Amino acid sequence: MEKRLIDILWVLTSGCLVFVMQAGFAMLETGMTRSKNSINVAIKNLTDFGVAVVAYWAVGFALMFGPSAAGLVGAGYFAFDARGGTWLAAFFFFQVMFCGTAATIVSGAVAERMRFSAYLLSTLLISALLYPVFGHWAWGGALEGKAAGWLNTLGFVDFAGSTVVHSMGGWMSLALLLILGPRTGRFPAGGAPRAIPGSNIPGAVLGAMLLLFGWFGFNGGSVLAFNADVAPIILNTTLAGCSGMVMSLFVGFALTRRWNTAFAINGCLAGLVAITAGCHAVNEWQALVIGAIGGMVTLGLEALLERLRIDDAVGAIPVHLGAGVWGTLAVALFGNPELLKTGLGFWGQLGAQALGVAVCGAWTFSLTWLIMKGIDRFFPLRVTPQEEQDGLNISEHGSSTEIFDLYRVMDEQSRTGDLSLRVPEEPFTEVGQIARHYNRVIGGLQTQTVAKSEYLDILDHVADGLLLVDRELRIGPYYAKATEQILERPGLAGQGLLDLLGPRLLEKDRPTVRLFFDMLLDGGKPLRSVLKLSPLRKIECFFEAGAALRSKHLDFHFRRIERGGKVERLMVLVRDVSEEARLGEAVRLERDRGRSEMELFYRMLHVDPGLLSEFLAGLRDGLRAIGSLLEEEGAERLRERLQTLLRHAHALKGDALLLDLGFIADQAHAFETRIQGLLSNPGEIQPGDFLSLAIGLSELQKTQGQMEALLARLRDFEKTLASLPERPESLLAAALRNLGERAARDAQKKVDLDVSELGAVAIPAPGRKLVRELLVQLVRNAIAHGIEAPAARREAGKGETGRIQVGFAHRGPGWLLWCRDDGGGIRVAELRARAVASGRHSAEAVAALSPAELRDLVFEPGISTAEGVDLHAGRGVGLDLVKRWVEGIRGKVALLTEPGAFTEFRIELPEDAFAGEA
Amino acid sequence: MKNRLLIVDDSVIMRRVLEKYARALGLEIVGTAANGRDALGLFDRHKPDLVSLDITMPLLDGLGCLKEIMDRRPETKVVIITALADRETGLAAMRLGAKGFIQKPFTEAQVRDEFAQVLGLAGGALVGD
Amino acid sequence: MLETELKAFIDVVIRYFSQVTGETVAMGVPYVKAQDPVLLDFTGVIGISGARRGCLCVTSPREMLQALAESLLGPDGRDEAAVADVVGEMANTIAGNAREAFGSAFMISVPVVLHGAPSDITIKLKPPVFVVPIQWRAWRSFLLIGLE
Repeated sequence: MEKRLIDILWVLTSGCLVFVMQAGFAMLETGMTRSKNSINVAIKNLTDFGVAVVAYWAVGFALMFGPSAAGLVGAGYFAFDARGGTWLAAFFFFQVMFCGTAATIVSGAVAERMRFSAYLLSTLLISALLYPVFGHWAWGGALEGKAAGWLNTLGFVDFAGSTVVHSMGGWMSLALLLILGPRTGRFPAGGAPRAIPGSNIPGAVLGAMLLLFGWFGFNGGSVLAFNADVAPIILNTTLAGCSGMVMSLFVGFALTRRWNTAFAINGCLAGLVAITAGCHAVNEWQALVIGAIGGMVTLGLEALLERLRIDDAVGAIPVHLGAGVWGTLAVALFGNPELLKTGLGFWGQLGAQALGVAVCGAWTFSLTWLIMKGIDRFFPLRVTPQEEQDGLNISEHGSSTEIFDLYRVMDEQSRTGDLSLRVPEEPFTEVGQIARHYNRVIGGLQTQTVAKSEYLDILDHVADGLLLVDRELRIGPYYAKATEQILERPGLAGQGLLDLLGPRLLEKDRPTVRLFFDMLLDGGKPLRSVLKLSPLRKIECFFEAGAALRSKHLDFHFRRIERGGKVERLMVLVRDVSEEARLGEAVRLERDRGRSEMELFYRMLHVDPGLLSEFLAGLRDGLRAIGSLLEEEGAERLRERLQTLLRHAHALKGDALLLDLGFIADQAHAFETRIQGLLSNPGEIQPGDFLSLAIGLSELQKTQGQMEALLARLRDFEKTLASLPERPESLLAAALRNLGERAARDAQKKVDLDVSELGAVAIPAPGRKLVRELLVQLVRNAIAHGIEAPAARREAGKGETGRIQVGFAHRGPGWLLWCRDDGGGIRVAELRARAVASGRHSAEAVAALSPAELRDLVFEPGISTAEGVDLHAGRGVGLDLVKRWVEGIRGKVALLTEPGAFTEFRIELPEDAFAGEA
Repeated sequence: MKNRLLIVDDSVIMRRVLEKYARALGLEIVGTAANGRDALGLFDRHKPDLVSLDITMPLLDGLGCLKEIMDRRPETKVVIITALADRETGLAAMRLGAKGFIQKPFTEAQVRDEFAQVLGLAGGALVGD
Repeated sequence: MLETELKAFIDVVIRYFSQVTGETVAMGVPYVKAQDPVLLDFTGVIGISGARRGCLCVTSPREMLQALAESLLGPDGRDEAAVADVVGEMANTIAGNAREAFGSAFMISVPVVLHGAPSDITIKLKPPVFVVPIQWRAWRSFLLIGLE
């Protein structure tokens, strides 16, 4: 079959135009993907052309346009040889471009993740098998100018390849995408899909323009002649491309409020794909409608893919498959039957078109899926995640780009934290600009970080607690390490200062502290005054330490950090001032102790060391006796216990008075008073009543402790004294005289105490204490009860000054101790009345007593003739004690008295009386 | 114009001492009151710039009085002068709007410093123009 | 040591025992010890700080606590764990009540229960130590109070 030269020229020119589409695809796809994959995407568009041409030359053309075997496959022209046939060569040239187009559609869809070799394999598959076989079904016999393929024969019309070329590329893309899966990060788990930005949109736009330009040849050349049909076809092609573009752009804007370049580009391509099948059989209006609907189909399909999480990198499936299917069906909807020349009715035509679409899908999708999936099992189609991360430029082609260098340094930096690294700055490029700015930022960061690490060093080593708190009093992330130690809590960041502090403070201080912080945070309150009122200056805080609480004194200082007149944060400085506080407290205690010690010391210095030592021994014993009396088990006989306690206390008081140790006498007196108080209570005595006695005892014990300590210090002094010739009697005499004077003064009486007979004989050392105590009680008794007041004495015709004589002597086999006063004698009537009042004796019994028996009453506890109670008399205890002591060592007490004249106690002690006492 | 001061304290001695100090500082004393109620009367009549206020007083205590003063003329500078070591009361006064705080016993220097601070004057120059 | 404070501590303990046992619990005659008194089988220790410092212990013989546990829990109360529980509970309640009784000027620690008289724990009883015997049925517990 011979062709006109102009037809050959047109077909060749069209072939050239179709080749331009390869360039268009290359620009479009690289522009719409990331630059780390740019080389891979671009080179695919060149190499798939190469593979496709070779494969198509070897087998593809033969299968497609060789003489048909039952309309199923062509056979002939293997390893194509035109044998000098100009038209045949032109025809091959035109058809091989189509094959290349079908193949290259896939490259964009699978971009950024498919292994380059696997891609070439898929190109081989489509160009050697899928495209030629289906092409035969649809276009077989075109070389001979008759319908030979089985679809063709059934009336399926696909003028320039909406289905044969574009849908096929789309179907193959879909199958591959299902095998490959989406790019990393496109569909985050559980998150919204993330758009992966294109790197060069202007380039993509140029790509779209080249495609549109190439399409003039794609559709126009498909006439395979240069005749009257060509111009309307090119016009329709242009119209559909533009209407698809405009429709997609505006509808996309209405939906997203963005003038998205992808809407314009893909809309345009969709319009072109859609018109391709029927561009020869529709008018201009119909072309516009087909193109516009093609744009819409693409928009819809894009959304659908996103929902299905199928990641088509450039929108190849929506454009080529979606619009391709639509365009193929549109042939039946809009195509002019006269021009279609299939002889089919509307439904018949629609059925034929649908069949073609379905067969293409089934054939391409299933074969691709089966073959490539099989290959994938042994030879992964997809690059590794790391390769994908680095970009296919590097991993597949070993070519670095400046952006990759930037990434590499950034990556290393993030891995090592080495801020001294700098990225290479290529001048005159955009990435170079970014690199320069990045370096500048890192430089600044480095300076700041170094500064910050210095601050942190300071914070780690400063001894005081330093921290920042925000308005909620939460502690900031950076604070002095010492703070943890001071507050005894690790990991303070984010903790509330008040929550940490509150439980460490006394409850009564907590509201004050809270109020204080409120005032601190209120920028309107005068800071000076608020700080003056700080409750957190040297405040005592309590920390758990095992079973006990340990207290620390913490000193807090505050500074406001204000921004825009508002207190934003507080700087807090906290120091542990426990040591200072402890020292201060110790100084204070020492001073107090010193004061009371001086007092004690002064008193004790006036006492003979021997007596003092004895006194202390007595005090110790007395307190021990009181203690063990309290400690006695059981709660019976409480009244009797009280009586005994009273006697002990009285004895202690007497001793203390003798030595003029007033402070002990006062304490013993107070103790006695408490016991008296309890005894005078007519109700039952409760164990709880002893509480005050326990306290009194503890006070006496404390004093005793102090005295013991002082005595230890006095020991040297005592030793010195001990080396002196000992004349204890004279000391005793002096002490007694002192006592006498004080007692007389207190009782407002005048007394002359004669102790001259005391020194006549040495008192055996073991007995000294007893003798002294007996004398003390007797002298006190004589002054309190015996000697009358001066006025009374005057009335009785005596001198105002009473006279008391005490003595101690060896008599017969034993000892005699006496005390005689020239007072009023025992007043019998008064004694009787007291005896009755004490409740121990009935009035009748008292009345019946003989004078001797009556005299014995003075030795009974609780009967005293003194009128008031003072230190010296009035408790009815002194003589009671005397009698007990004396009888305790088998001695005897005699009482001689004559009313108005004298009273004399005579105490006889056996010879061995002092032997047992050590 | 001199800054005008109202002294409120239930102790006669304290009022005298404050008066003496204040005069030495060049303040004009518009009145003295021994309790919160009288103080409010004087306050309404004279509208002083500065009030020195005791906390524990009969009839109307310092905090009550302070609240009234703040309700009437919030721009009044009130200095709390009290023997209370109780910081909570002092802080409560701050919250109500007191501008200064002096704890008894005080020295003349302390009073001068506090008044100068509160009136926003430097170094004790209390006579404004 | 003020009598009122001492009294308040004693009241807290007596009230606790009375409430728990539902029986009369008698206080014995209180006395004073200069040094740390001997501890019985179980001792609840409550540290006190603030206005006064030192500590408060309730020390009891095992048998008493067993009986107490039984009277509280029935036959379940016989095991060792129940006894320790009773002491801990007692110490907690007493500490809580003491907190209420003394309130704001005292800091009262989380109570610690000691078994026997462990040597490694120093009890911060400050002398003089007031000892208050507490009699329940045949047993005696002691309340030890040692505060500065």
